Amino acid sequence: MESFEGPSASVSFEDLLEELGPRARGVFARYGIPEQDRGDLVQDSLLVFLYKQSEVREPQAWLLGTLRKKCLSYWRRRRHKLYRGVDAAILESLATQAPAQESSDFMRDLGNAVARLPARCRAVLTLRYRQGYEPAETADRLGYKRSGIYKIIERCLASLTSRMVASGLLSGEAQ
Amino acid sequence: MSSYHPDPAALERFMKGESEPQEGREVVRHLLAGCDECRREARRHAPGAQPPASSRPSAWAPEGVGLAGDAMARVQRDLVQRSASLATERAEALGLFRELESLPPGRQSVLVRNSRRFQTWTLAELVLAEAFEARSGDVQRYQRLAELGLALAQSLDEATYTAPLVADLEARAWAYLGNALRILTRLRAADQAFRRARKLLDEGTSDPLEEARVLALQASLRDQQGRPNEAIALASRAARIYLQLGEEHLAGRTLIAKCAFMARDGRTDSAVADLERALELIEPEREPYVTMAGHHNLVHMLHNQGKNQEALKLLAKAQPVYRKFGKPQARWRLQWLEAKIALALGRPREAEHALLQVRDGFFEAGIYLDAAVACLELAHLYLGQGRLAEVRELAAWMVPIFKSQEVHREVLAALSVFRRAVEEERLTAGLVQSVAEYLEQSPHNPQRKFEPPSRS
Repeated sequence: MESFEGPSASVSFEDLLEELGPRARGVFARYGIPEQDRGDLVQDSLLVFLYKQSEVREPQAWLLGTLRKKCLSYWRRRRHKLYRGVDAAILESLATQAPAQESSDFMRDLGNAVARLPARCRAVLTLRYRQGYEPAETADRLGYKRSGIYKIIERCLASLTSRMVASGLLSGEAQ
Repeated sequence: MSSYHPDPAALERFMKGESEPQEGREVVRHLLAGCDECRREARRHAPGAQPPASSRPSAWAPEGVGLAGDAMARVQRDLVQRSASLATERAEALGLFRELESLPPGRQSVLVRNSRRFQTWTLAELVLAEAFEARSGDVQRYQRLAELGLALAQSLDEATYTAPLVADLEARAWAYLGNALRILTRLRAADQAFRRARKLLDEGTSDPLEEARVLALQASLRDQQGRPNEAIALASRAARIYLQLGEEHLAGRTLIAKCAFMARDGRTDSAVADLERALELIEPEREPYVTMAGHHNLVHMLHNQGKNQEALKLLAKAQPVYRKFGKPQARWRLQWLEAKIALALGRPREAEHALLQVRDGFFEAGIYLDAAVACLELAHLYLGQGRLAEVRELAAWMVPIFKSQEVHREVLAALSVFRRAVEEERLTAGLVQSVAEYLEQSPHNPQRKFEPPSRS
């Protein structure tokens, strides 16, 4: 097996994986990473290691630390995609022509969900969904920094999404 | 609620953010309408909701980390190929660096932006490493090389190196540039550079070492901006990461800086205890400057606590550390500390001799701020002994400092107060001390204006 060559001691990629294996599985188990996505995370980490090994003194500790951070950002990306999807679906529902009854049911359900959110999120999402304000306008209107409004919107979408999939919280209101 | 229910696969796609628009709209409407059964199914696919795959990982099997059979072979092939390209890059990097160094700065940046042979990962890394190396001796070079490293990182091909790796290197370059700007007291520009660095880290590879590096340097900026709590928190976070990665020396280096922040914030007792532990983490041969700075700070703190005998003993033990650093600045700083301790122990002649050497050394090297502080300490000593003619001589001696471009406006204003007081024969020990203290703090707080002590 070829070794990585660098200013630090050469490390065999196979040996490294061999030693890393059980602990890497532990990391994946702890962070609940699905089996089918683990290979990509390991591959990414090994690639980064290849380029940065001259700076790494403890390859195993570094790889495990990097894997941990990759697990965290894996879920962060997944959440981000979900919230963006929820937002797009709501905006498109509002923009799409639908039978009057369906439209009014949707507005009522959305209104009920938003009404149960903290005051700040209520204000942000009402401007976004009822008045059709863009993020920068929302920031100006509510006195937030424009640079920070995307984070605030994401937090509010997270809140709305968890309400949307929570059992029993909205069913009474929806009837 | 309608009798329509999205199928489980549609709910899974939605919760992974992978729905087509029409499907997404239907799922959102249905979930908002309050279908408990579908909500339950959706929650199973919520990010982070997966049950642990196995509670006790068994012996190593490539399958356990998702790399088996063909996948494993593919990864190996890719890494071996990249490894070979990197070896070629490494062989050429030093020659390319020397070629760049021989050119004027304007020509350097044109070349790295336009010539592909310079656009390699290894060269960018080498330039940045050289930049960091220059930080303790030649800040102009530090800034210039950080800018060159940034231009190189920005010119790297993302298809070859991947976008996250390029983002990491750009983050490092911005952090080095920010640090150089901090040393040059361009704090606003430094702040912007660190903001860029942090943003790029979010787009990067999740390498914890890269994160710790940026945090540790940003901590120094926060300290200089007069935000000690943030500085201490950032340094602690960086040190924790380093320790988790087994990088004890880097943790020690970061903790030495953190102790300096604490001491400046008036928490000298805790700083001394932490600094002793930090020094144990340091590998003395790896960065003599860091070792020297750690010992120097510790002796200084002990002196400030009034533990001068202890400080003197430690100073004697630390002599080889100063010698190892090998730069004259180290010798002058050592003598300066010896002068302070000698004064505290009631040995003014010893102190005067050392202070004169310190003053001359810094003055000849063009390090005017330190030369001025040494002058003021001499003035304080002379004033205490009633040697007013020598105080006047010192004030005259400081004239070139006023003409220097290296000293900022507020420092010159403070020195003018001193000079006027000498000319008008109303100089007091209190005034000398407060000008000296102001000057010593000024690199850490360049915005602060000097306020003369009120007459009692």
